[in-house]
Amino acid sequence: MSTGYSLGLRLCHWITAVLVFAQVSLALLNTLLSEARPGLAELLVQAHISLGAVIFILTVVRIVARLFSPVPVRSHRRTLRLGAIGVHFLLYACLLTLPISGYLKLAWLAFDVTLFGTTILPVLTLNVSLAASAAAVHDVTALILAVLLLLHVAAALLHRHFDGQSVLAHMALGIGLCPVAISGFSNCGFGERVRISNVDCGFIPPITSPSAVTHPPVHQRFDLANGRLAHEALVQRRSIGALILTANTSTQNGDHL
Amino acid sequence: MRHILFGSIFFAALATAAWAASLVETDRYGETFITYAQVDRTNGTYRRMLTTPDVLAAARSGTPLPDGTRIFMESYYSPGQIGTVFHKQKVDGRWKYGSFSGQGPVDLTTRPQASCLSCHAQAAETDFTFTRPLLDAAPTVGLSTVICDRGGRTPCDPAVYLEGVAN
Repeated sequence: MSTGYSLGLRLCHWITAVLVFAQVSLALLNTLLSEARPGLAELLVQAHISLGAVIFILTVVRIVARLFSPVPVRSHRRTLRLGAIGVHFLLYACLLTLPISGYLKLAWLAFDVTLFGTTILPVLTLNVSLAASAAAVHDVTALILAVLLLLHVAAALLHRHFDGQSVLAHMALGIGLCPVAISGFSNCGFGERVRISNVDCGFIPPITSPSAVTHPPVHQRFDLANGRLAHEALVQRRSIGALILTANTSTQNGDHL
Repeated sequence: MRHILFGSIFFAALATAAWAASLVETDRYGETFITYAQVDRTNGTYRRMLTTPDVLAAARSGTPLPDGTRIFMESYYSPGQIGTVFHKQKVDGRWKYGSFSGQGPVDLTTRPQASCLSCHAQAAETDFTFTRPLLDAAPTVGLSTVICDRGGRTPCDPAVYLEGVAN
């Protein structure tokens, strides 16, 4: 059973998130500066174009990586699961469509599209109507992406709040050698051996309190310095509100890692 | 008959004088440029469009402007105060763009710019020049003034420039 994305996918996810935020900022800044600082505005547009190419490559890498990497098991209802799959599919589609349409919008205006001031992408024959279509696709897709991102973030937060499922943990970045070093064991049972992304991350020992074993989001931390595994279990029980049980346990190096 | 002849000559002279008066010349950009249009915005700012006399003479509606065409757009943030000056030049059939501060030295360098081209693509039917209808009409009707109800540099509907000839 896989409970988290691979480190590579998680890195791609967060780099993409930062780049998308940067793209929106660059687009807005360009609008604000185009009158008073047109030279700077043009630099921002060039950065927007180059970062768009990076997002495109990252998205292709993520799609390929997802085909060959384990995907976290989702335990919510079928309708929610299908909704999540649909949103993820559309997110990927938008992340591919935006750079392509942005490039075509300029290339069909016979503009030399350069990346980071060096690489020149192929120039197409001037076709104003196709350029206008590409521009329209670019603008509409940007709006769709904005809505999808809101849904994406809202869903992650709502799952954590209402279901106690730390889907955010699937994308958390680790601090140790093990792919999941901070968290990401929301679907793990105690007393199970955990294998994530083909790396054996250890064994989660059982916790004595029976109430803690229902559906615990567990925040894991690996202490690699002394070869020991420590974890903190934070258990939320919806029936009584916010009962938090923290269990600190440790196991010997011979058993794990 | 004689009255009609003198009357026609009088009105023709009057019209020519009015046209000559409305098309203001300037040489602040290194050669003679003529203001052929003014675009007023509802926020009090306005733009003046300038080009050279030979371009005005050569412009034919429906045909691309000739290579070497230079068009300037002076942005006025308040009456008489020039802000940014935008300009473009046609080289090998493609527009190159440049800009400089109206308070600083004139910089006539141009290059292809994505930010400019993306916007001007909306005026592709008029050779990527929003005010082309006003430019074409300038030799006969003189300076045109149009009102654009959009803020900032958001381009107006091209119909505004068609309807605004010599208003």
